[in-house]
Amino acid sequence: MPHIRIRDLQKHFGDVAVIAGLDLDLADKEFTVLVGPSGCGKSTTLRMIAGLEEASHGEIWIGEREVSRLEPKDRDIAMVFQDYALYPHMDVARNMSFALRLARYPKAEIDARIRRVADMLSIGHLLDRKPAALSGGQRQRVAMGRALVRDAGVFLFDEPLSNLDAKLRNQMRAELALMRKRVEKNMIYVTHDQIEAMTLADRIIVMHAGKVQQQGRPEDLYRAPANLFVAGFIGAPPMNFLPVRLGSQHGLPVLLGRDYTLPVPSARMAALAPYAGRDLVAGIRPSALRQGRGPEGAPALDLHIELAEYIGAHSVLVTRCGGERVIVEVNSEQRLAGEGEQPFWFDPDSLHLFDPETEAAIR
Amino acid sequence: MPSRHGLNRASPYLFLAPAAAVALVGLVYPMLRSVWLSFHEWSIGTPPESARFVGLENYRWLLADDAFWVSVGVTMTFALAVVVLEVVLGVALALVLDRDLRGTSLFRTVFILPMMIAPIVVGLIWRFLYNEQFGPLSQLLKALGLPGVPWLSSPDMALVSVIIADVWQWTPFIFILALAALQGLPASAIEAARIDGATRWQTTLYIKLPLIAPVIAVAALLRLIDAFKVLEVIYILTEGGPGLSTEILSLHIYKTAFVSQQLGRASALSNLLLLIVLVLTVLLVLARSLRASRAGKE
Repeated sequence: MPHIRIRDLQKHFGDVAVIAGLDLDLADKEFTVLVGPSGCGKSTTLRMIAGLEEASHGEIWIGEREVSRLEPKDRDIAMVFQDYALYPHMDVARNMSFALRLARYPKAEIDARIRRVADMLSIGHLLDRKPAALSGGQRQRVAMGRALVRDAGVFLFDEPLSNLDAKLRNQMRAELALMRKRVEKNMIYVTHDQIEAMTLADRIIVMHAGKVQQQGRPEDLYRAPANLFVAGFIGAPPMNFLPVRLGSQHGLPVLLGRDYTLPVPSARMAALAPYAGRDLVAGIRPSALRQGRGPEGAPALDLHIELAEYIGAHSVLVTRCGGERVIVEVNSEQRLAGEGEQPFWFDPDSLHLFDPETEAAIR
Repeated sequence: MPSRHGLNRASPYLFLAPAAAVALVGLVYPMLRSVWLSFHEWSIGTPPESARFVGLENYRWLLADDAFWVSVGVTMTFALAVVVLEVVLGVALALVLDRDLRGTSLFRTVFILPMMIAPIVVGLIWRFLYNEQFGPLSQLLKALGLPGVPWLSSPDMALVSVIIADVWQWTPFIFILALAALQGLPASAIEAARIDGATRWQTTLYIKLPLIAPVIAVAALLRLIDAFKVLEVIYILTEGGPGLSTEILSLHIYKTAFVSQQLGRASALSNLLLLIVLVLTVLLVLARSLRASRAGKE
């Protein structure tokens, strides 16, 4: 099972650079998720790996082979498409066996593989049906099955769940997570849904405007986003951003906002030294804010609650702090004591700080 | 409420009535009249009352007439040849031009032009092209030092020439329908085939052609029905000759009616042609629905 190496991959449409120099290293048996908003170049990247789109420049290595000039069929890949891309005139069994029949596998081998994969995906009873006679979820499984019987070195998924309704999507996401434990292959998965990315990935690659913003394990991206874009993209509800200026109070450095003052996390003191007197962006996750004054000396923000959205176990509070909107996620069990302005405390180490010019995190 | 119920029941027929009336006058009446006429002997110019009832005599005479059977053979050969050639060429052209290359839209337009030309004009164009002294084809052969071809004067060649002219005019019909069907195919299914290891040729054979087959079948059926009724181009090119070599049924009907002035026999001929086309159409539609239901069960 090969690892994938991409060097200076570029894609131009006319004068527009959709991908401007991409370098990636994907390890063996890794489940990699390319995530980003629509138009960020993630699908184009996947299609270039598949060979459906020609790279304008750069190299794609799968294992020991440079494949960027090869036909898709010579790249040892299988792919699941967003709209499933089943062959409408073939029944499920023939859809799944198409690649094997083209490769002239013996019939017994084809049958055995189809049975094994169909059992795994619980579509054994659908083998003689045409795609038109299947539900969305069933088509999705067949599309997955068609890729799995191939036993290719690399599996590519292009937003495979985005055509499903919310309930089915959650269910299929869980099944995908189970499947990937059983199929130890290199998988690359494209999605715009950060929850899919967080739940499925060994490694997430966040893309924006044709560039990699950050890559790493889901928890690393959540805990230490490298820049404002990643901080705002990973996590739901998204991180709150507050404009501040690095000043001092009673001889101690503090972050001064319009109507609020935030402490400087002790670990960032040194990194913040060059920013004295300059503007910064402070970020805090909705779940990091807790109702009340908290323990002695804990920093707090006074938030004016405008709206409480009850979701179930959690509630989302839409609040204002000075001119800024601040989202808070609270446990629904904690009854809110009163309306209007309320104090919310937080751990100073949960603050993220960003340079507003470079948008990079200050660590 | 019975009155409302009654109105509901009658209203569909009410809305259909105008169309039905037009069909009655324009379609059913002439057909019935033609059936009636086929049992009579009547010449143009004589009063209709002078028509003499002859029973099945017209049909008996026709079925015993060699010229009729020659004409049936010519028609069958012509219709089959043009439909097969037009489908093969039309689909092939559509496959070639189903891509986004510079200039393809120009080619697409050029290729459908012949279909827009009136059949009479097509006949005149090809009569000029086939002219054995001054026609461009003969000039070209002469320039290449090749012997001339008796395009329209040899009985064997005349049918081929007539078929070529029809293929030239009607291949575009199959072409545009096949092209539209190809462009309506889901792009991702074709990409999936590429990933599954299909070559361009295999993708065409196993994915594209089966998916556009229903459209092609309907287009071919329309062409087949039309081919049985072709008249103008052949009339202009050969008038059915030399001998009876290109005398297709509609031309045979025309000659029987307006040259021999035997309207009864011409009507009987028309009815037989209608019957042939009807039987063929029903058979084809049956074959298709049979295949479709079998495919549904698979």
